[in-house]
Amino acid sequence: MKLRLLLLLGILGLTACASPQNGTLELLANGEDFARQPFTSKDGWTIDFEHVYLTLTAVTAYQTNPPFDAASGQMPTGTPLPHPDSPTVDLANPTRDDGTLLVGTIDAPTGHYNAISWEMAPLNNNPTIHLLGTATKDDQTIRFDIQVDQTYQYACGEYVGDSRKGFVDPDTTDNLEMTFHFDHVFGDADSDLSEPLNTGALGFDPLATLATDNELIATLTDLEANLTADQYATLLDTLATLGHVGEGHCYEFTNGYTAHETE
Amino acid sequence: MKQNNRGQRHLWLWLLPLLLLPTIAYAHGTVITLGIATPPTITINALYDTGEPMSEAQILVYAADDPRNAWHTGTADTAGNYQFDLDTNIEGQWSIAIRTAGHGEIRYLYVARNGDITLEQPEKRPLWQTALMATIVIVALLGIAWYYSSQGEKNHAHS
Repeated sequence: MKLRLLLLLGILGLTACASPQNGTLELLANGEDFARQPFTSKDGWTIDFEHVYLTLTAVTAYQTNPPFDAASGQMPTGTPLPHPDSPTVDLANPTRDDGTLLVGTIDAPTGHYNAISWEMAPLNNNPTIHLLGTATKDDQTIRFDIQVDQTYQYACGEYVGDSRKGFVDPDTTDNLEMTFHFDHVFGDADSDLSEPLNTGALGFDPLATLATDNELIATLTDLEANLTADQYATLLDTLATLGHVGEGHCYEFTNGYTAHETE
Repeated sequence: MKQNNRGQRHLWLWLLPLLLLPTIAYAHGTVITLGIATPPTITINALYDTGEPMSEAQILVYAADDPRNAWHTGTADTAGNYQFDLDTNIEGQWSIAIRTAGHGEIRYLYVARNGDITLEQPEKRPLWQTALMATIVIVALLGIAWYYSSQGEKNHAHS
């Protein structure tokens, strides 16, 4: 009888060992200093965002083995952990001390989440991207309100930064970050102007010429109609390269990798 | 690589030409070339996809047994070159982050139980196969225990 009791306890013990223990995975968005603080574009405009709204959908974390390579141009094939909500976040106004915003939390099985995918799309009358702020050069200040309604789909590998992310242990919390590089669109006067970051960026001069009474209110359709074909193509290309994981590049399914234009 | 294993050292000599062939990953924006020079020395060449070197790129190496904390850190030279020695006693997946402002990539290396270093992950047994084998072993052990338990009770009843 004692042996049977021991056997039962053994089975219960094995069952307990097999039961997954969860932790918490936080999903963060980060617009870096370019979204939060004024910066100078490649053509000398001081860009100061009041709001940088992004509508994020289908945010999904993955554990992949072998590690997902964004250069594959595929979606991650590991165990997916989807986030059910589709929030609109404001990267210019972070909610956390480190400058990031909490997109959501997921009760997550333990392990290393080393890949993430997400989409940006118009939803519930919110555009995909909505940029509001001012651009100032010399004595001129232009208020801009630019709405983009295209859909973007990103697949990214592991976060690349000062530390690694995505390690979920039982009853602990870690995070994954979606990082957005707005210097790709406007350039950055603090970087070498001959670098691809700047040579491939649109800058603000082409947008400034479209302003009326120092105000630019435009949708992507408006910009397509009024920018030159090359300028519009550059805008589309650089918008598609916004999504990163820290410094790590992603694959964007309408454009390719999220690095600067190099031509 | 264990220094006292003469046979394996000779094997490396034969494999050396192959090991010196780098694997190149073209992640848009960066071109990171990892190589295994003389094991356990790992070489890194980090370039932007324009061909410019990732001058003074930050290098962070994470050992297989502690993936959260950097096991080794360093800075590439102006040509984007760096090298370091792995500890081949630490088996498993090693991770190497190479980054500059705005650019970065993580690459992986694998150290086998015998100390061999590979740039591709060795094939692993599928999870379902491992689970099936574990289940068979557990069921067999439970069966044996149950059998002896029954035998013990029978003997007890007879006495």
